[in-house]
Amino acid sequence: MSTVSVIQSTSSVTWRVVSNFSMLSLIATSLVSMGKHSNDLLILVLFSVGLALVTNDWLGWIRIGRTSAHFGMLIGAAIALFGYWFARQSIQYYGIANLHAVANMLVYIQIPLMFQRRDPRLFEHWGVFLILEFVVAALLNDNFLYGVLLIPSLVVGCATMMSLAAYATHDLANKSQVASKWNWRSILSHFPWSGRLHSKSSGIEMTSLTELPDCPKSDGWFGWLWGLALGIGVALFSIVYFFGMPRLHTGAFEGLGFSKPLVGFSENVSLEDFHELMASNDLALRMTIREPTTNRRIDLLEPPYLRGTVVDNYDGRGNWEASRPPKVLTDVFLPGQIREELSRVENTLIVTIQEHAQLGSVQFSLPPFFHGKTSSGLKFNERTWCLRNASSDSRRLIVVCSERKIAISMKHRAMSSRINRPIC
Amino acid sequence: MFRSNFLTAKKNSSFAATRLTREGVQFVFMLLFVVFAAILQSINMLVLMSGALLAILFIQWRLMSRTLSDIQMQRVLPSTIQARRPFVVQLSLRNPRRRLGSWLMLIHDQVVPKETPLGKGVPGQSITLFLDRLLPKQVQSLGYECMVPIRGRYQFSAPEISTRFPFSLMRRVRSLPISQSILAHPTQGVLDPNWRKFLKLPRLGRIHRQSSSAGGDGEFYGLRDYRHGDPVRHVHWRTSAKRDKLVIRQFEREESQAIAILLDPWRSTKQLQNGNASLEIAVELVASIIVRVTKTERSVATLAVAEEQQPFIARIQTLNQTGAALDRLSTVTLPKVDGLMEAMRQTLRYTGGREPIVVVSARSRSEFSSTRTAANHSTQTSSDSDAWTREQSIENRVIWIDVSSDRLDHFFVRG
Repeated sequence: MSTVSVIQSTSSVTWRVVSNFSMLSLIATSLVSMGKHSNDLLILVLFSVGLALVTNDWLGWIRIGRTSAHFGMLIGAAIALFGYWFARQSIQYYGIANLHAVANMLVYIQIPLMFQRRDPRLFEHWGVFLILEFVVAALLNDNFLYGVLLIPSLVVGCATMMSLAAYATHDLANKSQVASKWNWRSILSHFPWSGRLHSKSSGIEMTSLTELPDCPKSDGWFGWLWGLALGIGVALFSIVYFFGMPRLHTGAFEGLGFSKPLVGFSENVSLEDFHELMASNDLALRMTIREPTTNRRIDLLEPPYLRGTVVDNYDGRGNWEASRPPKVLTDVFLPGQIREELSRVENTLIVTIQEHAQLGSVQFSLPPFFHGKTSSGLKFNERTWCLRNASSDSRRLIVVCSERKIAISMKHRAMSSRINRPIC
Repeated sequence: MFRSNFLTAKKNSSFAATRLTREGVQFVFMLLFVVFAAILQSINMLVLMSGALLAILFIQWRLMSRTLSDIQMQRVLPSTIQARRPFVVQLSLRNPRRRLGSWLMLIHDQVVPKETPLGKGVPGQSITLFLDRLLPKQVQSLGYECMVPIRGRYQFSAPEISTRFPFSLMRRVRSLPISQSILAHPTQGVLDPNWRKFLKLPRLGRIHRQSSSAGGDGEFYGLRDYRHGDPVRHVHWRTSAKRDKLVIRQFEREESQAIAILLDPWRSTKQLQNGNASLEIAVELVASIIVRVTKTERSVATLAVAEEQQPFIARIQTLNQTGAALDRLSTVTLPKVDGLMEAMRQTLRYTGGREPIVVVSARSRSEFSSTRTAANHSTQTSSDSDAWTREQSIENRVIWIDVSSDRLDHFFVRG
């Protein structure tokens, strides 16, 4: 088998791995675009992938080297950073822009790779960026739809990795067969000054008699079938893992995020203080209320109204601060609203609050807990709920509310109104 | 024609190792990042993703390990090879499993010079063959052509089977601990049909009769045990049945063209500086003459090699003996002491002076004589004088071939 035929035979398997990577890149960018609510990245990648497949893999017009590709990646990263800096300066800046900037950067630095000359290391880099893109897409799309779309993504991902394995193995075999005939020793030994070098060479020649297949049978349709089976298997495993994985519940209070979280207002506000008021529609937390004995979920008629720190004390000199200890807003009642018997009833509901968007700039602040076994100082009515005797887990709150039969019977009508009157 | 060793990748005899590939290292780094972020931040989709990445890694490890387990391998080498002549090495792989196939396998084989004139520390050569898939209960053969540059012993080290299937994140290598060695005979060149005329070999006529099993053109001589290479048609079945082992009939053969070949591997310090080429030519010429005499001319030869301690002398009549003689020539090394005179004396005694002795050497006859004369002058006594005369008469009886002279080109072309 001649050397030339060995080199030509790699094109088919290369074509498969490139097309699979391009498809995976489109899927990852689609998920990112879905989270960004913008199609600009998807259009950019679609155009780049198409252009690269035609000009690089089909016609062979544009095949940049590794150094040029790295330079192009640097330019892409610079463009993304400039966009991030510009967004910070603008008034429309909001916290999720960090993730958008990372997503932009990941897409921009992939584009030069699409036009790079094909070799195994290229696909390693491309694969890493694709995984990162899926991570960013996961942060941008914290919803059920992303989880569903992850299944076809896994199928394509498995097929892509199988084609990469076929390509890398094929490439190794190809290099070995070429090297066994044309290694650097055999080339250098032709020069007169290489006598010493030649004398150390064994001079053994080995040539494969087995034709290297144009495209391994373990690629192509076989790879897609395996990808389908393995993708479904991976999805099933990840679902089991999702429910079995331990959660540390280290939220915003512990400050384990990548940046210091912002927690609503501070405990005092003065005149001439300047802050940005950040309104965001991003998901901040998820709250579920369960009845502790039956563990039955209690649905609310209306979204609960939750308030963070309330700066209720004004000193008359332009400063507002939170009362210490926090004053219950519901201390002020109309006559007849106070029901003393409720203070003796300790029917509890378990409220589980799960924070979201930890990597974003918006964080939700839970109100300070009321600690104490007795409810002295608190006045209850049917529209009141308070946090009492909270455990160390900041998201699992014991709620003292009205008597049980009221809670159950008034589930649909009264719970929402009770929660509408929180204390701080 | 071929000899084979079955190399079975049994679990207790083979060595297997799993390594992360470069892609795998990057993947594991990403996996750790995602897992820690998922655990610390409890982001649902990250948890889902980390589960998927872990599953991919687990599937890679499990499938890859299963792919290579129980694979059996057989390497078939030719029984004899010659230097600078390509030969085929065949590797057969068998998947004994009932359900699971094996995919994307690389078979790595290596040849290392063990005892060759190249010396020690010479690196070997390796080849990697690609086997796309091996279905359950399937046997597939791969082959490669190999060529060694010089005579000597070569070691085929333990072959390795590796795979990256399915995701290329890890590489499983399975090594079979059985290795094989093979002896590369000297390359046989082309002797001119009238080579005897060039050497002025006397035609001795019918001198005596020798037994041979290969000839079959003479009268019955006797019986002897069967050896590898003997023709089956000469097996004496009745006696074989009695003795419970194969016995063949021997026939007398006319030995009209018997010849004794004496190889002189001694080389002076000056010659040593110019490399090993002249010794290799001498060895190849001797091998060519022996094969020509015993195989083509169906005659008898005596091979002698002037070695340090005791000269090697052997009678060559059968194919088996020819093979053994070539084996011996394959491992001829440079002696530290010049033993040519002693070898000539013993060869003459061995042949009884009835066969012409041809000395094949990398030095000229005059060079040998002057060396011997110089050594004799330094320690000369009356008894030495007689010995000198006897040695001189022995030397005068041999036919000398100096492989460095142009005369060689008249009847011999290197292969």
